[in-house]
Amino acid sequence: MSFLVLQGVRKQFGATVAVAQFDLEIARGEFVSFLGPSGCGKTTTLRMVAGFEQLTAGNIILDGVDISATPPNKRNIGMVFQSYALFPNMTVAENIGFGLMVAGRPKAEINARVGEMLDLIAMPEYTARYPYQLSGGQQQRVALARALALQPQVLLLDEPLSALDAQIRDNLRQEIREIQRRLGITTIYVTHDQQEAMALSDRIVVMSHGRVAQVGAPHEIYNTPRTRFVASFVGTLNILAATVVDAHRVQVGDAVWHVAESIVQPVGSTVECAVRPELLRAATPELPNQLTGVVQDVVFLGATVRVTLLVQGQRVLVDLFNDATHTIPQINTTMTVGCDPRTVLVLAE
Amino acid sequence: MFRRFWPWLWVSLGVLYFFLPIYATFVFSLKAKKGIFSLIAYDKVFADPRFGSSFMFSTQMALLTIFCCMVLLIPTLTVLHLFLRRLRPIVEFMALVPFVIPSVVLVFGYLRVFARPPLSLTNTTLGTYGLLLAGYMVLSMPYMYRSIDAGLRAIDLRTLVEASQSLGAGWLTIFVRVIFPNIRVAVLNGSFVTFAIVIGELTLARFMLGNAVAFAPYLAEIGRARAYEPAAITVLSLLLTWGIVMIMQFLGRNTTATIAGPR
Repeated sequence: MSFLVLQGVRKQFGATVAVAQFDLEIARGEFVSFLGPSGCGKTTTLRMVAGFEQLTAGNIILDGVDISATPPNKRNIGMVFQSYALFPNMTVAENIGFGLMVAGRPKAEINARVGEMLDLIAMPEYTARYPYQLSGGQQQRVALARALALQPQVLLLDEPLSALDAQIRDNLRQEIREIQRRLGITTIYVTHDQQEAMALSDRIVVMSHGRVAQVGAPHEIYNTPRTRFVASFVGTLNILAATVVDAHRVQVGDAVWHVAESIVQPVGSTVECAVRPELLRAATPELPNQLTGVVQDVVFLGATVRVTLLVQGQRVLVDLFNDATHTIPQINTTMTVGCDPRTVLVLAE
Repeated sequence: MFRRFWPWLWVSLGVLYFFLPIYATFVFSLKAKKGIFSLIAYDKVFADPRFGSSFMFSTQMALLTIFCCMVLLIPTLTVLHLFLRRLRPIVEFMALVPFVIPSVVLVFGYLRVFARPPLSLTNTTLGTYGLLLAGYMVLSMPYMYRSIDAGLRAIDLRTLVEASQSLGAGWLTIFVRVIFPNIRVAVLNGSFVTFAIVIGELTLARFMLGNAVAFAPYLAEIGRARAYEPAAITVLSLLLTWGIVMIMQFLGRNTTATIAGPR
């Protein structure tokens, strides 16, 4: 049975529709990320779950109870904000113990719980520090501990890492995932960073213009995006104009490509085929789905080499493994690449 | 050396501008007996029970005004910042109106409306004091409004409120534990000005209470008949006001003035 259910959730600000129709079921202990560009409605949806925004329509059901009209301070949902939102007038210990103090818990229990939380975030010696005496990463760890101290039913994280440096972000990302797994807390994470969403989540909800574009495990979202939007938003993708030849073949430029999945579009119609740059390889005679183009650019990225090909007016990116035994393609030379039919996606609009 | 000359010159001019009149008043207050410096004027001031009682009355009214302004303005401005942002310019304008309405107009307006039936507030002492308090609140509103508004702008109010709510806090807890402590310095700044305004306010107090109840009318009355005592009272009132302001600052001292956040 689903632990958190969003049924037909809709939010309008005047005439502007922020969230059009949002349906989602989240299992207990699941880590779900809302991923999408700015203005897609992901934060608004999160704020509706938190109770900070009223629903225009729909219901939010938590553990079988409809909480749509429950005020935010009665929901038992913890939240971590992008700007940390630590109380500047309180020490680290007071911040973490705030929720427990509001709940009227005994002082001894508060102290014990604060100690546990400080151990959890590996900051036991920071009890008496004030927020302004902490780094950004430390502040966010305290914010996480504060949200978890009350043992909320659901934890919401609104772009918690976006204000941090890259290295701190990576470390804290790991910590968040470890803590979430250890506590088994149901978590919703809002981000516009696809890597973050893929690294953390059990499932990703890709959103666009207030609607759910696709829901799935990270590998599903990445490998089998359902729409052009999802395909282009998650990872880098080559999108090639093609014409349907039959249920398993398309014409791409001069070449005929094989597609593993059945093509639903009618024969002769124009479609878009997508293939990831890392799934294109330097052609060998037995490799199908070949394309020949002129090398426009070569960028050395360490583990990979990104080659930009110009194929009949279309730019095609190819990521080759950096193998010291192979020569790197030269600019203005001709190169032929190919791919497995299972890696070619025919996109719906 | 030359680079330090100008800053010191301006600081010295500022100090002279503020302290020279006070120094002159102090020196004058010591010349009650011809040819020597003495504390005779101060002895006479302390011998007059009206000095202590009027100063106490005005101090109590000032503290009450500060408290009432805080109770009225902090929630009002919080609501404006969080939920009614479009109304902010209108309320800002209203808060500035007391600057352009002279006190004498305000007091006659009050008396015409509230001193007559059906309200007749001035028929009782409590009613009169309440009316005076309302007048003080109006006069000090521009300063308190500006200070509290600046304090609320300096913090991430919405997020702090939402963080508190997500931790189970109701509005009373949010005001007392989160908002007020984080705008305490701003509220104190407004309170100092309010205190000074109420202590020195003449028109409202004289028309509503007569000459001897509040401090400023008492000072004005003394000044009409005598020379050295008003100077002594001025010096004393300055010292007392500074003393009270320092006590307020000490009680409201803030060890966490720095706002944390992303960096």
